[in-house]
Amino acid sequence: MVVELLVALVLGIGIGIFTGLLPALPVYTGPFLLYQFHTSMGIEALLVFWLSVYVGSQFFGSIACITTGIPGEESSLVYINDIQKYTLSERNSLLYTTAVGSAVAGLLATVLAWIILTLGNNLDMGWLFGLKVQLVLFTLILASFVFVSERKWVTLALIAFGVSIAPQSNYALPPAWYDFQYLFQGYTFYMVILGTMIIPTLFSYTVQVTDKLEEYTVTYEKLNWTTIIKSSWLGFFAGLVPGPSASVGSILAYRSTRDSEQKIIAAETANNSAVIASTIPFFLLALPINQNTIIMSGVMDINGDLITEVIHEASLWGLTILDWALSLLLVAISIYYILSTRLINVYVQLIVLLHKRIRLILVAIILSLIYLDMQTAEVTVAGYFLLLSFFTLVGYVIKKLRASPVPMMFAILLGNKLVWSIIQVKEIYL
Amino acid sequence: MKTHVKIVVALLVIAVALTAGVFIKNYNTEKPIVIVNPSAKTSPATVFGKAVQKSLDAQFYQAANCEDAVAKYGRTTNSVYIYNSSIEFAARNKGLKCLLAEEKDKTVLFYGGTPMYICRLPGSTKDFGPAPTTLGMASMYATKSHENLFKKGGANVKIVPYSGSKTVLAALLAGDVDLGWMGSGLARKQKGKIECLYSTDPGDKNFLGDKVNNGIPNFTITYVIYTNANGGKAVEIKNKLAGDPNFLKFLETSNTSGTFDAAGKDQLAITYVDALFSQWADK
Repeated sequence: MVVELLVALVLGIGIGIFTGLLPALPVYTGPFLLYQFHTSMGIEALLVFWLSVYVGSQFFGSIACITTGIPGEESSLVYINDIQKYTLSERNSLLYTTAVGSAVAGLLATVLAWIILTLGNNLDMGWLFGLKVQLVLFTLILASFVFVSERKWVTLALIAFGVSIAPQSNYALPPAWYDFQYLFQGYTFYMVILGTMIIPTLFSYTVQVTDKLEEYTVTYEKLNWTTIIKSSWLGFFAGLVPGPSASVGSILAYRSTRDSEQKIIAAETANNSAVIASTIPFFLLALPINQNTIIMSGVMDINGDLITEVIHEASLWGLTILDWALSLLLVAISIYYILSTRLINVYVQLIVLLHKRIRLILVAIILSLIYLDMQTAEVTVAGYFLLLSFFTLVGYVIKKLRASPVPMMFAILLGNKLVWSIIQVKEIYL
Repeated sequence: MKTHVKIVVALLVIAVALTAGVFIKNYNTEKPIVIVNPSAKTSPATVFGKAVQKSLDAQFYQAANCEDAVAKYGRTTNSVYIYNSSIEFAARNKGLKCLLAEEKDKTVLFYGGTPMYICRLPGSTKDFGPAPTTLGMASMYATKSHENLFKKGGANVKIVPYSGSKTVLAALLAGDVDLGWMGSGLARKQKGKIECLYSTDPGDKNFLGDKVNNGIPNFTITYVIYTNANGGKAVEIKNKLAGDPNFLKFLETSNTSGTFDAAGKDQLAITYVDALFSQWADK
């Protein structure tokens, strides 16, 4: 069994890094793979693999975003515009500081989760799933984009459009709204990013690079521990609220500080504690609260395992299954930290290489992203390209208006939950 | 004949031979089984489909919607369709063309269903009766017609729509709703965290129909697994599924009962959705 656990850990780390670095591979790649292999794995190995991939995809998502400007996962999107103003050398330093933040948040959240899950039934977390918490949180997040925008009406219109297409399988919508969102059925997050952000800027993308690698040498800056600890807590709280946990954590932490660099570190720190916290309702109540845990819940159902009981069963060396899963997660986070900070020079060379042939590489990346995205999209090939063309058109309009598509993307991410909350408030209280 | 013409002819002959070879190989090779799933990726019905896929060691097609699923089923040999009554109910409401009655090319492999439980928090005194009560339910069934039937039956309920059983459970735990209408498989996992008052299974002693008639008190999520494989292959698929202990265990833990002796049982599903539609749909 020890061998099986180590294999699961190594595979989980490898796929976690791969998922994080490669945009368009969704964060639920891990549990989706488990659908294929779970019957041949013990429950300990299954959980170790899942948690390693889940955390790794967040950890390394920042590297993709900071180096290439294409977010490796959704929660990195919040600071994508900030990245443009940094030199390549500054970006490399950011890789180091965000890696430290991610590691601290991950380790802290794992220990907290361990304590909460061990205390188990004595904790009342129900209020965190409440309608009012979600409604206030998601409304504030979207409103914050309008407040900080210089083009408030355009931002408001983009958010309204994002919210209007966000609902999925919501039969409580008025018929006209249902029919409108049905036109967009099957779009994916990366399709929207490709169309509104990457393709419209493809031919105007320019960054000056020289051949002297030493000009990009990393300068290790002093860490702001207040930002890191505060963001870890914010992310942990956000992770417990149903919805896109990592993105909510990122935005809350991003808004909690003023300095541009600290904002990026805060966002990347928070999303790591958020993903770990989001597993707590699943382990404690068999209640999945985001896509990743929903799919993992399906894997457990097929296995016939009741997660709330199985994690407390005794396993090897007197430890419980939960002990094994979380202790190996701590090992995985430490390895992610070492890999992300010790290999920065590799990323430096990658960045320089990328920027020397940037247009060709961007075209290759876009084609690869489309191919990968189509593998998980719930849409036909013709439908995919039709929707991608539409979002590209939207992207060009946004560019012409000198606005940012980021608020629209967060409206799409949070809109589904927000619309449900509004409908439910209306039914319960009005 | 000139040399370059000879080369072109030779290449053409090789190309035709290769194409013919590939065609013959594929023609003689048995087509793989393809599970066609019309439900959303994160729905419980997809978990059901994945369990079938695992049991049959088959390929899996995640359809964009039920119309896409029907089209895929129609053009793919040896495909197995995972039908459930909720998808058809939604399709009828939205006028989509993916009705079970219209699918002629099918051998039914399995017919079954899973009931719903109506639950509350431990210590709560909320129940169906004259006092106002909120009931969380999946949005497709959270219709005014359904609510009116409850009221007519003496239960003063306000139905609150949710995306599915999992969000109903979260709302119940948060205290947003008094009662939650949820899948029995999910409810059973909660052990002590919620208290289930009623079941839509007429075989259970706390059958909903004994308390209130909501039009369809014996509601189930009804599954029909059918295939377009030919006679011998269809029997082979059915035997493999029925003989797989892992699939049988899955049926048990998800509280799904049914039969593999299911020829003609699809008609029961059609009649059932007819009743659902006439009772609960807002027309």
